[in-house]
Amino acid sequence: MAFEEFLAERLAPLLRYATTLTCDPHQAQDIVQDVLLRAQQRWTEIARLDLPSAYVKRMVTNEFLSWRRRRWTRDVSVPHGVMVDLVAASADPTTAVDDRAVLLAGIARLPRKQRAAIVLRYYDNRTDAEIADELRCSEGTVRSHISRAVDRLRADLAAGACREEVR
Amino acid sequence: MRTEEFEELVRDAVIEHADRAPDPEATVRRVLRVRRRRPVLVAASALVVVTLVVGALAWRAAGGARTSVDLAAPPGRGWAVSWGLAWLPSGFVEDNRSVTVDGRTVSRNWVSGEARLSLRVSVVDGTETDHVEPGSDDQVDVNGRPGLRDGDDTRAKVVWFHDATTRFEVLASHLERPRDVVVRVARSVVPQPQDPLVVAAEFGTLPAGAGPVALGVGRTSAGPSTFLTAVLPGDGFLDVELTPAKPDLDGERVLVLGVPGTYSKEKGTLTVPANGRWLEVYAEGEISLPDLVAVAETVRIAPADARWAE
Repeated sequence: MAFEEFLAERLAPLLRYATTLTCDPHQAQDIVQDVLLRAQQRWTEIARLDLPSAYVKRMVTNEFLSWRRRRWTRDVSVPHGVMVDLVAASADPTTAVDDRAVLLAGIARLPRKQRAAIVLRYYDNRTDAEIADELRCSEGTVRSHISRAVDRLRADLAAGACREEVR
Repeated sequence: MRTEEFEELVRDAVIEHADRAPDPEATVRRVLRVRRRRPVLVAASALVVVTLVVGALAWRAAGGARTSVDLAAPPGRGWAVSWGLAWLPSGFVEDNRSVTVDGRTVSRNWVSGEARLSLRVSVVDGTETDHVEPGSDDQVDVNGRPGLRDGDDTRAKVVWFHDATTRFEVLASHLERPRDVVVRVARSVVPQPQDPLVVAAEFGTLPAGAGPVALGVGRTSAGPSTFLTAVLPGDGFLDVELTPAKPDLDGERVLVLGVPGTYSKEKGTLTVPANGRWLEVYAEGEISLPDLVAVAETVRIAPADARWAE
Protein backbone atom coordinates (compact mmCIF):
# COMPACT_ATOMS: atom_id res chain seq x y z
CA MET A 1 0.00 0.00 0.00
CA ALA A 2 1.36 3.41 -0.96
CA PHE A 3 1.54 6.12 1.68
CA GLU A 4 -1.08 8.18 -0.16
CA GLU A 5 -3.45 5.19 -0.19
CA PHE A 6 -2.89 4.76 3.53
CA LEU A 7 -3.77 8.40 4.09
CA ALA A 8 -6.93 8.07 2.05
CA GLU A 9 -8.07 4.98 3.94
CA ARG A 10 -6.85 5.51 7.47
CA LEU A 11 -6.45 9.22 8.16
CA ALA A 12 -10.04 9.88 9.21
CA PRO A 13 -10.11 7.01 11.76
CA LEU A 14 -6.69 8.09 13.06
CA LEU A 15 -7.91 11.64 13.60
CA ARG A 16 -11.02 10.37 15.37
CA TYR A 17 -8.90 8.16 17.61
CA ALA A 18 -6.46 11.00 18.37
CA THR A 19 -9.38 13.30 19.19
CA THR A 20 -10.77 10.83 21.72
CA LEU A 21 -7.32 10.66 23.34
CA THR A 22 -6.65 14.38 23.43
CA CYS A 23 -10.25 15.64 23.73
CA ASP A 24 -8.95 18.51 21.61
CA PRO A 25 -9.23 18.49 17.80
CA HIS A 26 -6.35 20.97 17.40
CA GLN A 27 -3.96 18.88 19.45
CA ALA A 28 -5.20 15.74 17.69
CA GLN A 29 -4.36 17.24 14.33
CA ASP A 30 -0.87 18.22 15.50
CA ILE A 31 -0.18 14.77 16.89
CA VAL A 32 -1.43 12.92 13.83
CA GLN A 33 0.51 15.21 11.52
CA ASP A 34 3.75 14.68 13.45
CA VAL A 35 3.23 10.92 13.46
CA LEU A 36 2.49 10.77 9.73
CA LEU A 37 5.56 12.81 8.88
CA ARG A 38 7.68 10.32 10.78
CA ALA A 39 5.80 7.34 9.35
CA GLN A 40 6.23 8.41 5.76
CA GLN A 41 10.01 8.52 6.22
CA ARG A 42 9.96 4.81 7.07
CA TRP A 43 6.98 3.91 4.93
CA THR A 44 8.73 1.19 2.95
CA GLU A 45 9.44 -0.63 6.20
CA ILE A 46 6.01 0.06 7.77
CA ALA A 47 4.13 -0.98 4.64
CA ARG A 48 5.69 -4.45 4.88
CA LEU A 49 4.13 -5.06 8.30
CA ASP A 50 1.00 -7.20 8.61
CA LEU A 51 -0.98 -4.29 10.01
CA PRO A 52 0.54 -0.93 9.10
CA SER A 53 -2.51 0.85 10.47
CA ALA A 54 -2.07 -0.75 13.91
CA TYR A 55 1.57 0.31 13.92
CA VAL A 56 0.76 3.91 13.07
CA LYS A 57 -2.06 3.93 15.59
CA ARG A 58 0.41 2.88 18.27
CA MET A 59 2.65 5.74 17.19
CA VAL A 60 -0.30 8.07 17.82
CA THR A 61 -0.83 6.57 21.27
CA ASN A 62 2.83 6.99 22.14
CA GLU A 63 2.89 10.53 20.81
CA PHE A 64 -0.13 11.42 22.94
CA LEU A 65 1.43 9.95 26.07
CA SER A 66 4.70 11.83 25.54
CA TRP A 67 3.19 15.12 24.33
CA ARG A 68 5.03 17.98 25.94
CA ARG A 69 3.28 19.94 28.60
CA ARG A 70 5.08 23.16 27.81
CA ARG A 71 2.55 24.25 25.26
CA TRP A 72 -0.17 24.24 27.89
CA THR A 73 1.78 26.04 30.57
CA ARG A 74 3.40 28.71 28.49
CA ASP A 75 0.87 29.61 25.83
CA VAL A 76 1.18 33.26 26.68
CA SER A 77 0.37 34.04 23.08
CA VAL A 78 -3.16 32.68 23.05
CA PRO A 79 -5.13 35.27 21.11
CA HIS A 80 -8.24 36.73 22.64
CA GLY A 81 -10.64 34.65 20.59
CA VAL A 82 -9.02 31.26 21.02
CA MET A 83 -10.75 30.32 24.23
CA VAL A 84 -14.07 31.31 22.74
CA ASP A 85 -13.34 29.21 19.66
CA LEU A 86 -12.42 26.22 21.80
CA VAL A 87 -15.57 26.58 23.78
CA ALA A 88 -17.68 26.93 20.69
CA ALA A 89 -16.18 23.75 19.33
CA SER A 90 -16.70 21.68 22.39
CA ALA A 91 -19.59 22.88 24.49
CA ASP A 92 -23.27 22.47 24.45
CA PRO A 93 -24.37 25.96 25.47
CA THR A 94 -27.77 24.82 26.62
CA THR A 95 -26.43 22.19 28.95
CA ALA A 96 -27.47 22.19 32.56
CA VAL A 97 -25.71 19.23 34.09
CA ASP A 98 -26.47 16.08 32.19
CA ASP A 99 -24.58 12.85 32.36
CA ARG A 100 -23.20 13.09 28.87
CA ALA A 101 -21.73 16.55 29.39
CA VAL A 102 -20.31 15.53 32.76
CA LEU A 103 -18.60 12.52 31.24
CA LEU A 104 -17.25 14.48 28.28
CA ALA A 105 -15.57 16.90 30.64
CA GLY A 106 -14.55 14.19 33.09
CA ILE A 107 -12.78 12.16 30.42
CA ALA A 108 -10.88 15.26 29.32
CA ARG A 109 -9.62 15.74 32.88
CA LEU A 110 -8.35 12.19 33.37
CA PRO A 111 -4.58 11.68 33.56
CA ARG A 112 -3.25 10.66 30.18
CA LYS A 113 -2.69 6.96 30.82
CA GLN A 114 -6.09 6.55 32.43
CA ARG A 115 -7.67 8.38 29.51
CA ALA A 116 -5.81 6.23 27.00
CA ALA A 117 -6.94 3.08 28.79
CA ILE A 118 -10.56 4.28 28.81
CA VAL A 119 -10.42 5.14 25.11
CA LEU A 120 -8.87 1.81 24.18
CA ARG A 121 -11.49 -0.04 26.22
CA TYR A 122 -14.64 1.86 25.32
CA TYR A 123 -13.81 3.31 21.92
CA ASP A 124 -11.62 0.55 20.51
CA ASN A 125 -13.22 -2.32 22.46
CA ARG A 126 -9.81 -3.75 23.38
CA THR A 127 -9.21 -6.42 26.01
CA ASP A 128 -6.99 -5.84 29.05
CA ALA A 129 -4.20 -7.79 27.34
CA GLU A 130 -4.46 -5.74 24.16
CA ILE A 131 -4.47 -2.48 26.11
CA ALA A 132 -1.46 -3.63 28.11
CA ASP A 133 0.36 -4.35 24.87
CA GLU A 134 -0.54 -0.94 23.45
CA LEU A 135 0.47 0.95 26.60
CA ARG A 136 3.46 -1.31 27.30
CA CYS A 137 2.44 -2.10 30.84
CA SER A 138 1.03 -5.08 32.72
CA GLU A 139 -2.61 -6.15 32.60
CA GLY A 140 -2.80 -5.36 36.32
CA THR A 141 -1.75 -1.80 35.60
CA VAL A 142 -4.39 -1.55 32.89
CA ARG A 143 -7.08 -2.72 35.33
CA SER A 144 -5.81 -0.18 37.84
CA HIS A 145 -5.94 2.66 35.28
CA ILE A 146 -9.46 1.76 34.23
CA SER A 147 -10.68 1.23 37.77
CA ARG A 148 -9.38 4.63 38.90
CA ALA A 149 -10.77 6.34 35.83
CA VAL A 150 -14.17 4.75 36.33
CA ASP A 151 -14.18 5.79 39.99
CA ARG A 152 -13.41 9.37 39.02
CA LEU A 153 -16.03 9.45 36.30
CA ARG A 154 -18.65 7.97 38.62
CA ALA A 155 -17.73 10.58 41.23
CA ASP A 156 -18.12 13.29 38.58
CA LEU A 157 -21.56 11.94 37.72
CA ALA A 158 -22.57 11.83 41.36
CA ALA A 159 -21.39 15.40 41.89
CA GLY A 160 -23.26 16.50 38.77
CA ALA A 161 -26.42 14.86 40.02
CA CYS A 162 -26.06 16.69 43.36
CA ARG A 163 -25.64 20.04 41.62
CA GLU A 164 -28.69 19.30 39.50
CA GLU A 165 -30.76 18.59 42.60
CA VAL A 166 -29.66 21.89 44.16
CA ARG A 167 -30.85 23.73 41.07
CA MET B 1 -26.40 3.54 38.02
CA ARG B 2 -25.90 0.01 36.71
CA THR B 3 -22.52 -0.91 35.20
CA GLU B 4 -23.96 -1.55 31.75
CA GLU B 5 -25.70 1.80 31.76
CA PHE B 6 -22.55 3.57 32.93
CA GLU B 7 -20.40 1.87 30.28
CA GLU B 8 -22.88 2.82 27.58
CA LEU B 9 -22.65 6.44 28.70
CA VAL B 10 -18.84 6.33 28.55
CA ARG B 11 -19.00 4.83 25.05
CA ASP B 12 -21.34 7.61 23.95
CA ALA B 13 -19.02 10.22 25.43
CA VAL B 14 -15.84 8.96 23.72
CA ILE B 15 -17.72 8.66 20.42
CA GLU B 16 -18.88 12.24 20.85
CA HIS B 17 -15.26 13.30 21.35
CA ALA B 18 -14.37 11.38 18.18
CA ASP B 19 -17.12 13.19 16.27
CA ARG B 20 -15.24 16.43 16.90
CA ALA B 21 -12.22 15.21 14.94
CA PRO B 22 -10.79 17.74 12.49
CA ASP B 23 -11.30 17.57 8.76
CA PRO B 24 -8.83 15.02 7.26
CA GLU B 25 -8.33 17.18 4.18
CA ALA B 26 -6.50 19.84 6.15
CA THR B 27 -4.12 17.24 7.60
CA VAL B 28 -3.52 15.70 4.17
CA ARG B 29 -2.58 19.09 2.77
CA ARG B 30 -0.22 19.81 5.68
CA VAL B 31 1.48 16.41 5.51
CA LEU B 32 1.91 16.37 1.75
CA ARG B 33 3.13 19.98 1.71
CA VAL B 34 5.88 19.14 4.20
CA ARG B 35 6.72 15.94 2.32
CA ARG B 36 7.33 17.83 -0.88
CA ARG B 37 9.73 20.13 0.94
CA ARG B 38 11.55 17.36 2.71
CA PRO B 39 14.27 16.59 0.12
CA VAL B 40 15.27 20.24 0.19
CA LEU B 41 15.19 20.29 3.98
CA VAL B 42 17.22 17.11 4.23
CA ALA B 43 19.78 18.44 1.79
CA ALA B 44 19.90 21.77 3.57
CA SER B 45 20.20 20.07 6.94
CA ALA B 46 23.00 17.87 5.68
CA LEU B 47 24.77 20.87 4.21
CA VAL B 48 24.57 22.78 7.49
CA VAL B 49 25.79 19.83 9.52
CA VAL B 50 28.68 19.22 7.14
CA THR B 51 29.55 22.91 7.15
CA LEU B 52 29.43 23.06 10.92
CA VAL B 53 31.51 19.92 11.32
CA VAL B 54 34.13 21.12 8.85
CA GLY B 55 34.17 24.50 10.52
CA ALA B 56 34.53 22.96 13.94
CA LEU B 57 37.37 20.70 12.83
CA ALA B 58 39.22 23.68 11.37
CA TRP B 59 38.59 25.67 14.52
CA ARG B 60 39.82 22.86 16.71
CA ALA B 61 42.92 22.46 14.58
CA ALA B 62 43.64 26.14 15.17
CA GLY B 63 42.99 26.14 18.89
CA GLY B 64 41.02 24.03 21.29
CA ALA B 65 37.60 22.58 21.82
CA ARG B 66 34.80 24.42 23.60
CA THR B 67 32.14 22.65 25.58
CA SER B 68 29.73 25.52 26.16
CA VAL B 69 28.35 28.26 23.96
CA ASP B 70 28.96 31.80 25.22
CA LEU B 71 25.83 33.74 24.40
CA ALA B 72 25.76 37.49 24.73
CA ALA B 73 22.82 39.11 26.49
CA PRO B 74 20.98 42.38 26.00
CA PRO B 75 20.50 44.67 28.99
CA GLY B 76 17.84 43.33 31.34
CA ARG B 77 14.45 45.01 31.17
CA GLY B 78 11.95 45.06 34.00
CA TRP B 79 8.18 45.02 34.10
CA ALA B 80 6.05 45.64 37.15
CA VAL B 81 4.25 42.67 38.66
CA SER B 82 1.60 44.42 40.72
CA TRP B 83 -1.24 41.95 41.07
CA GLY B 84 -1.67 38.55 42.65
CA LEU B 85 -4.22 36.10 43.93
CA ALA B 86 -5.50 35.96 47.49
CA TRP B 87 -6.92 32.51 46.81
CA LEU B 88 -5.72 29.51 44.81
CA PRO B 89 -7.06 25.96 44.73
CA SER B 90 -4.83 23.69 46.77
CA GLY B 91 -1.81 22.16 45.07
CA PHE B 92 -1.08 24.97 42.63
CA VAL B 93 2.41 26.45 42.39
CA GLU B 94 3.54 29.37 40.26
CA ASP B 95 5.17 28.01 37.11
CA ASN B 96 6.13 31.09 35.11
CA ARG B 97 5.79 34.84 34.69
CA SER B 98 5.92 36.44 31.29
CA VAL B 99 5.33 39.62 29.37
CA THR B 100 4.33 40.15 25.76
CA VAL B 101 6.99 41.77 23.62
CA ASP B 102 4.98 44.99 23.42
CA GLY B 103 5.11 45.13 27.21
CA ARG B 104 1.35 45.53 27.46
CA THR B 105 0.38 42.20 29.05
CA VAL B 106 2.00 40.65 32.10
CA SER B 107 1.00 37.04 32.90
CA ARG B 108 1.39 34.88 35.95
CA ASN B 109 0.74 31.16 35.53
CA TRP B 110 0.18 28.48 38.16
CA VAL B 111 0.02 24.74 37.57
CA SER B 112 -0.98 21.60 39.39
CA GLY B 113 -0.34 18.51 37.28
CA GLU B 114 -2.15 19.18 34.01
CA ALA B 115 -4.37 21.84 35.58
CA ARG B 116 -3.55 25.44 34.94
CA LEU B 117 -4.51 28.90 36.15
CA SER B 118 -3.43 32.18 34.57
CA LEU B 119 -3.78 35.83 35.53
CA ARG B 120 -3.17 38.31 32.73
CA VAL B 121 -3.13 42.05 33.27
CA SER B 122 -3.11 44.17 30.13
CA VAL B 123 -2.84 47.85 29.43
CA VAL B 124 -5.45 48.70 26.80
CA ASP B 125 -6.40 51.84 24.96
CA GLY B 126 -9.78 52.34 26.55
CA THR B 127 -11.91 51.33 23.61
CA GLU B 128 -11.85 47.63 24.46
CA THR B 129 -14.31 48.01 27.30
CA ASP B 130 -16.90 47.20 24.64
CA HIS B 131 -15.93 43.55 25.07
CA VAL B 132 -17.95 43.41 28.28
CA GLU B 133 -21.48 44.30 27.38
CA PRO B 134 -24.21 44.45 30.00
CA GLY B 135 -26.65 41.64 29.53
CA SER B 136 -24.28 39.40 27.61
CA ASP B 137 -24.67 35.68 27.94
CA ASP B 138 -22.63 35.06 31.08
CA GLN B 139 -22.01 38.23 32.99
CA VAL B 140 -20.49 37.84 36.45
CA ASP B 141 -19.75 40.27 39.21
CA VAL B 142 -16.07 40.70 40.05
CA ASN B 143 -16.04 42.72 43.25
CA GLY B 144 -18.52 45.24 41.90
CA ARG B 145 -17.22 45.30 38.33
CA PRO B 146 -18.98 43.53 35.44
CA GLY B 147 -17.05 40.59 34.08
CA LEU B 148 -17.70 38.29 31.15
CA ARG B 149 -17.32 34.57 31.64
CA ASP B 150 -16.79 32.06 28.83
CA GLY B 151 -16.13 28.39 29.13
CA ASP B 152 -17.33 24.89 29.68
CA ASP B 153 -16.49 22.04 32.03
CA THR B 154 -12.89 21.85 30.74
CA ARG B 155 -11.77 25.47 30.32
CA ALA B 156 -13.11 28.80 31.41
CA LYS B 157 -12.10 32.42 31.66
CA VAL B 158 -13.35 35.68 33.11
CA VAL B 159 -12.52 39.06 31.60
CA TRP B 160 -13.17 42.38 33.29
CA PHE B 161 -11.83 45.91 33.46
CA HIS B 162 -10.33 47.40 36.56
CA ASP B 163 -10.52 50.81 34.91
CA ALA B 164 -10.69 52.14 31.37
CA THR B 165 -7.14 51.09 30.55
CA THR B 166 -6.52 48.00 32.71
CA ARG B 167 -7.96 44.72 31.52
CA PHE B 168 -7.85 41.56 33.65
CA GLU B 169 -8.24 38.00 32.46
CA VAL B 170 -8.27 34.86 34.60
CA LEU B 171 -8.13 31.49 32.83
CA ALA B 172 -8.53 28.00 34.23
CA SER B 173 -8.24 24.68 32.48
CA HIS B 174 -8.15 20.97 33.19
CA LEU B 175 -9.42 21.22 36.75
CA GLU B 176 -12.71 20.51 38.50
CA ARG B 177 -15.55 22.98 37.79
CA PRO B 178 -13.44 25.61 35.98
CA ARG B 179 -16.44 27.93 35.50
CA ASP B 180 -16.87 28.19 39.26
CA VAL B 181 -13.16 28.27 40.04
CA VAL B 182 -12.40 31.00 37.55
CA VAL B 183 -14.91 33.36 39.17
CA ARG B 184 -13.61 32.68 42.66
CA VAL B 185 -10.04 33.25 41.51
CA ALA B 186 -11.05 36.46 39.71
CA ARG B 187 -12.67 37.81 42.87
CA SER B 188 -9.47 37.07 44.79
CA VAL B 189 -7.26 39.26 42.57
CA VAL B 190 -5.60 41.86 44.78
CA PRO B 191 -2.83 44.44 44.49
CA GLN B 192 0.22 42.43 45.41
CA PRO B 193 3.46 44.18 44.48
CA GLN B 194 6.17 41.67 43.66
CA ASP B 195 9.75 41.98 42.54
CA PRO B 196 9.67 43.21 38.95
CA LEU B 197 9.86 40.64 36.18
CA VAL B 198 13.39 41.17 34.85
CA VAL B 199 14.36 39.42 31.65
CA ALA B 200 17.48 39.85 29.53
CA ALA B 201 16.72 38.05 26.30
CA GLU B 202 15.90 38.73 22.68
CA PHE B 203 15.79 36.76 19.47
CA GLY B 204 18.40 37.27 16.80
CA THR B 205 17.61 35.42 13.57
CA LEU B 206 14.11 34.02 13.21
CA PRO B 207 12.70 31.97 10.32
CA ALA B 208 10.89 33.93 7.62
CA GLY B 209 7.41 34.88 8.72
CA ALA B 210 8.05 34.21 12.41
CA GLY B 211 7.56 36.85 15.06
CA PRO B 212 8.49 37.17 18.74
CA VAL B 213 5.55 37.06 21.13
CA ALA B 214 6.64 36.95 24.74
CA LEU B 215 9.49 36.49 27.16
CA GLY B 216 9.65 35.49 30.76
CA VAL B 217 10.99 33.49 33.66
CA GLY B 218 9.97 29.94 34.48
CA ARG B 219 10.42 27.62 37.41
CA THR B 220 12.41 24.42 36.88
CA SER B 221 13.51 21.70 39.27
CA ALA B 222 16.97 23.30 39.39
CA GLY B 223 15.96 26.96 39.64
CA PRO B 224 14.70 29.76 37.41
CA SER B 225 14.98 29.66 33.64
CA THR B 226 14.72 32.39 31.01
CA PHE B 227 12.46 31.81 28.04
CA LEU B 228 11.39 33.44 24.80
CA THR B 229 8.43 32.51 22.62
CA ALA B 230 7.72 33.22 18.96
CA VAL B 231 4.97 32.21 16.60
CA LEU B 232 5.76 30.46 13.33
CA PRO B 233 3.80 30.67 10.10
CA GLY B 234 1.03 28.10 9.93
CA ASP B 235 0.04 28.05 13.60
CA GLY B 236 3.36 26.76 14.94
CA PHE B 237 5.46 28.18 17.72
CA LEU B 238 9.06 28.36 18.82
CA ASP B 239 10.27 28.30 22.40
CA VAL B 240 13.82 29.11 23.51
CA GLU B 241 14.82 28.45 27.10
CA LEU B 242 18.04 28.88 29.05
CA THR B 243 17.61 26.45 31.90
CA PRO B 244 19.72 25.18 34.80
CA ALA B 245 17.92 21.83 34.67
CA LYS B 246 19.86 19.26 32.67
CA PRO B 247 17.60 18.13 29.83
CA ASP B 248 17.29 14.84 28.03
CA LEU B 249 20.20 14.72 25.58
CA ASP B 250 18.98 11.99 23.25
CA GLY B 251 19.30 12.72 19.56
CA GLU B 252 21.73 13.29 16.75
CA ARG B 253 24.86 15.36 17.30
CA VAL B 254 24.71 18.92 15.98
CA LEU B 255 27.24 21.70 16.35
CA VAL B 256 26.11 25.11 17.54
CA LEU B 257 28.82 27.76 17.25
CA GLY B 258 31.30 24.89 17.30
CA VAL B 259 29.94 23.36 20.48
CA PRO B 260 28.43 19.86 20.35
CA GLY B 261 24.71 19.80 21.03
CA THR B 262 21.96 17.33 20.30
CA TYR B 263 18.88 17.46 18.12
CA SER B 264 15.95 15.19 18.84
CA LYS B 265 13.70 14.95 15.83
CA GLU B 266 11.12 13.11 17.94
CA LYS B 267 10.86 16.01 20.35
CA GLY B 268 11.64 18.81 17.91
CA THR B 269 14.27 20.06 20.35
CA LEU B 270 17.81 21.32 19.83
CA THR B 271 19.88 21.36 23.03
CA VAL B 272 23.34 22.75 23.66
CA PRO B 273 25.34 23.73 26.78
CA ALA B 274 25.41 27.52 27.06
CA ASN B 275 26.42 30.07 29.68
CA GLY B 276 26.84 27.39 32.33
CA ARG B 277 23.32 26.19 31.69
CA TRP B 278 21.44 24.51 28.85
CA LEU B 279 19.94 26.22 25.85
CA GLU B 280 16.89 24.45 24.46
CA VAL B 281 15.25 25.47 21.21
CA TYR B 282 11.93 23.75 20.81
CA ALA B 283 9.56 24.14 17.90
CA GLU B 284 6.20 22.87 16.84
CA GLY B 285 5.51 23.61 13.21
CA GLU B 286 7.30 23.81 9.95
CA ILE B 287 10.87 24.71 10.78
CA SER B 288 14.08 23.13 9.50
CA LEU B 289 17.11 22.09 11.51
CA PRO B 290 19.23 24.85 9.94
CA ASP B 291 16.65 27.36 11.10
CA LEU B 292 16.73 25.93 14.63
CA VAL B 293 20.53 26.16 14.64
CA ALA B 294 20.36 29.75 13.40
CA VAL B 295 17.97 30.64 16.22
CA ALA B 296 20.28 29.04 18.80
CA GLU B 297 23.38 30.75 17.44
CA THR B 298 21.91 34.24 17.38
CA VAL B 299 19.66 34.41 20.44
CA ARG B 300 20.86 36.81 23.13
CA ILE B 301 19.92 35.60 26.57
CA ALA B 302 21.07 35.70 30.19
CA PRO B 303 20.30 33.38 33.11
CA ALA B 304 17.24 34.32 35.13
CA ASP B 305 17.41 35.69 38.64
CA ALA B 306 14.06 35.30 40.36
CA ARG B 307 13.61 34.41 44.01
CA TRP B 308 10.05 33.18 43.53
CA ALA B 309 11.27 30.47 41.13
CA GLU B 310 14.10 29.13 43.28
